[in-house]
Amino acid sequence: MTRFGMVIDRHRCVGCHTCANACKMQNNVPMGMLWNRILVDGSDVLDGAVGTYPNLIRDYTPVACQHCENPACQRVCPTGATYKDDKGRVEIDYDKCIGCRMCMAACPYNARSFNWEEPKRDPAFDYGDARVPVRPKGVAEKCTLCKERTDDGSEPMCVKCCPTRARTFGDLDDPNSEVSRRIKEKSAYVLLPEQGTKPQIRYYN
Amino acid sequence: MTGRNAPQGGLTRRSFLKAAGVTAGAVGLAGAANMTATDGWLAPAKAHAEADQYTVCTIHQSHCSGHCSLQCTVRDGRLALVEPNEAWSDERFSTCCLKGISEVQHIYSTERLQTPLKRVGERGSGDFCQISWDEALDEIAAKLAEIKAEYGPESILVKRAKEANYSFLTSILGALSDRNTGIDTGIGNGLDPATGIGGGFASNTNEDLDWVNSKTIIHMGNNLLESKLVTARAFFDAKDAGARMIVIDPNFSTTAGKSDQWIPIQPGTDAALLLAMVNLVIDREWHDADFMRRYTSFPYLVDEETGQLLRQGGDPEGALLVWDAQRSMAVPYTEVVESALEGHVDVEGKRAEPVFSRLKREVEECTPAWAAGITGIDPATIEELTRAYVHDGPASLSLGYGGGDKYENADIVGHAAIVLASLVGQIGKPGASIGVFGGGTGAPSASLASWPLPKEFSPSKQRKSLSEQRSTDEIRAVFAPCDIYLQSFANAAQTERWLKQLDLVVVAEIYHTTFVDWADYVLPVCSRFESEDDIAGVSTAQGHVRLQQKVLDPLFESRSDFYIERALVERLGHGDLLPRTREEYAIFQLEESKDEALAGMTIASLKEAGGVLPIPGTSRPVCLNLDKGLKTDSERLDVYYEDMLPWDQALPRYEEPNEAFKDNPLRDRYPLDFLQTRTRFHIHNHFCDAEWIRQFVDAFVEMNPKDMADRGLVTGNIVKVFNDRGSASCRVQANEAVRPGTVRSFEGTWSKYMDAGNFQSLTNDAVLPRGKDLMKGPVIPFNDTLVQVEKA
Repeated sequence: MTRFGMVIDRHRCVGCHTCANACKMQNNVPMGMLWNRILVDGSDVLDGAVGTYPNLIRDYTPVACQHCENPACQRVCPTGATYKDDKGRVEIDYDKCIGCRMCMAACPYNARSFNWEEPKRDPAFDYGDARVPVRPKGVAEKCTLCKERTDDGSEPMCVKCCPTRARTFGDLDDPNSEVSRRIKEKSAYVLLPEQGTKPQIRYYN
Repeated sequence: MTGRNAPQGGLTRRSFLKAAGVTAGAVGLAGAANMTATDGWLAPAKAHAEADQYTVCTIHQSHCSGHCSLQCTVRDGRLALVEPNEAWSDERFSTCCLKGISEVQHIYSTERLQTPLKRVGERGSGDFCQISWDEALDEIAAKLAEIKAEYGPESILVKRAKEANYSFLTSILGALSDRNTGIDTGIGNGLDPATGIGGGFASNTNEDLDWVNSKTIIHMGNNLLESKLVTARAFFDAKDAGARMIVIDPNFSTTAGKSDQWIPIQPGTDAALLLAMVNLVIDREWHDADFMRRYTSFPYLVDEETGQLLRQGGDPEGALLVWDAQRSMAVPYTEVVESALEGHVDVEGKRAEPVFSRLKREVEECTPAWAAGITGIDPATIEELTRAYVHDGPASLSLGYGGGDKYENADIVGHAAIVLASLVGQIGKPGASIGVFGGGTGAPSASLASWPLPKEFSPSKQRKSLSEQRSTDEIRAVFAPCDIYLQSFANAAQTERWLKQLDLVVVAEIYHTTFVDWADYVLPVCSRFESEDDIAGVSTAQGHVRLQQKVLDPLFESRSDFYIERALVERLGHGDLLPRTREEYAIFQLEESKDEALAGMTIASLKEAGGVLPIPGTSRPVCLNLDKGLKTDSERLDVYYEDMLPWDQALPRYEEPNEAFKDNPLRDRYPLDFLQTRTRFHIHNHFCDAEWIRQFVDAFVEMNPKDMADRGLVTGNIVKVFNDRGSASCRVQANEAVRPGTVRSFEGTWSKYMDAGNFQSLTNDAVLPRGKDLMKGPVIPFNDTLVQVEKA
């Protein structure tokens, strides 16, 4: 079996938002939405820090869909629109999505976005990869692990564009893959382990 | 726009991960930009299935020193994807960042200038009417000729910019070409005369890829993990290889947060810290005498009375002298001897001492305790830092442009830094280096052919700095392919006064920047992605030759700088002297080059290789080899600056900042240091209008929460930042990372995104008197500025 996943070196993450924009571009994500974003631990402001000057710590956490082995979103989806695909990715069948947003309430990572309005794009055309389906108003959307690219043997766009090469993509089921090797070597962890979602996106510091 | 929201929309990791079900996708700024203009222009979208798609490569901005080669996908005539080009010979150079990607939106921005414009209101009002290209070019050429005839060619300034350089027009007019393409010359002014490297920009002596050979790297006033994003890779590779990273910065910068140690410093006092390190090295006898004798001017004899270096036969062209301790006589420095580094000697009736002796005496007072009082760094930290730099080498001293470089005393920082490195030999070896790193400076290079013009066509030489010329009426016309209002001057009120009295202001720009509103004529330039010709240009960077291909036809009615320049030169009667097309120019530059490294390389081979080809012949990483000799007077590290004797700066002597010094009585009214920092989001004023960047940031200043509480301010308030020069209003944000007593802003923020004024309304335009004798003239001390902040 193939089970795609990713491991992110948080020490190498400099919070530059290149991954956020690379994802936005590749996946034709409308304005007012990002599938992939940079959070600052414990701070509400851009590039904030925890502590009191000069005793400070700053950690960036890039967060998108965690492609859980046990996805909370899938369990609550009443139509089967959210599904785990044959390569271990959590995907959405936009035709089946009825816009109930149960998945958004269930996801502990807040990884999903919803098209409340007709999507507004700036520039006002469908940019990105031509193979990415255009989502209409009234459906949920999120990181697909760049399904169209990874089906083709390429790595996700956030991985390709990361200036510090903080991201490693690959098959978690292959113990010899770079991603598996790093997860093992670095004792990579998951976000919110207590949720029991078993994310396939892992992190190390 | 809901531009007042916190850019991150309150999405901290804590609140983001745990708050379920809210409108999770919103990123704070709605970003529903008015696209009417672009909509009207663009052809209706076709379904993806019928897409007509191709990929082609171009090169992105160079003035962030990124030099990214970008692979661009065009679908239905529109830019759909921007990715790092993977054709580099080394995948480490295959880069792009959030700004490159944001071009997918940015090139279609509503801020694009679409047609030539002519001013109808008062200058500075921003009231324009559209005119045709022919009208604009005819009128501009006629006015330039008129002004040249009346006031002489040096009354016309054709501003040089890093991204656009109207050098043909400058030469044909004989116009004034300012000596600086950039403002980042403060530290280089003091460092580069000693090395003959860097051209005034303090460029690194080894390339950044060599950091993997360093054990200690000190980043001083350099937030490279933001300002030079593509250098971040070299930073982490070095760290993984075992380098210890130390950051000296007033703020807890992104780079500070990723380093092993952060040493906070009072802004504008970097030179005091470096001089204390010099003092410690000498006091502890940590200097490397063999290195000093072999590679530096420390043994050269100085006339104790005049400060002049002694030369053989007293001849100004004679060889510099050193004292041969064994034979007790002065001999030319080129003789291999055990030259004395200390002591007083008599040479032909003159009392003399080696440069090192003089330094020792001059820095005697610069103890760590003295520096602690100025920098706020305790003596033990200074001692440990010095010990690590000397003993945990090889060590690299990495300097920056956005901090200490922008103070009146910046040359002393550069000078003290190279004196320190030269004392202990942390230069010219693998892992031992100094300068501002990044973007492949120091990488193997090759010279492209320069298009010849007849000898009678050459620019006028600039005799004083632009800041000084601003207070005269010497310049009558300005032609600028950049925003000189926000980027080339401090103190905007003075810039406005000067602009108002000019006879002609022409701005050639892609976007409606702040300076555009001051133009009489506006010429719309196309972006780097657009070209009239399939081959748009060729350039060298990162040890490679890179091709710029046409991605799109010029949008709207824009034209490339090349064809605008050509059309003006034609109207001035000399069109026949210039290449006819961009393609012809690129072919000439590459294929007519006399550089052996480029032999056999053609535009066709470059295209075939995917747009990048390595320059052969040098192994990397490149390290400075001192045995080959430097391009200095004595071909060694010439740390003693005779030409600065009138200013008492032959050796670095500490001076306080011009305005932002500790005991300035002005602090009673304006107690806060105002800093304009570099950011990952912009390159100077570029990308301020890119909506994919504005998702994350808008115009704001940051303060320490304590300083905000003292003033009754909370995040999101609109504040007025002010001093006697002017004021600027925008949103304020609390951030513990900001040093108490300072206000941090992003350099280059456009006026239109501010609530009132702009940051240059505040900045210090003092002109350093000794600046006229410095390599690049006086630096503009943008950060040497005090302000007060109150609720607007």
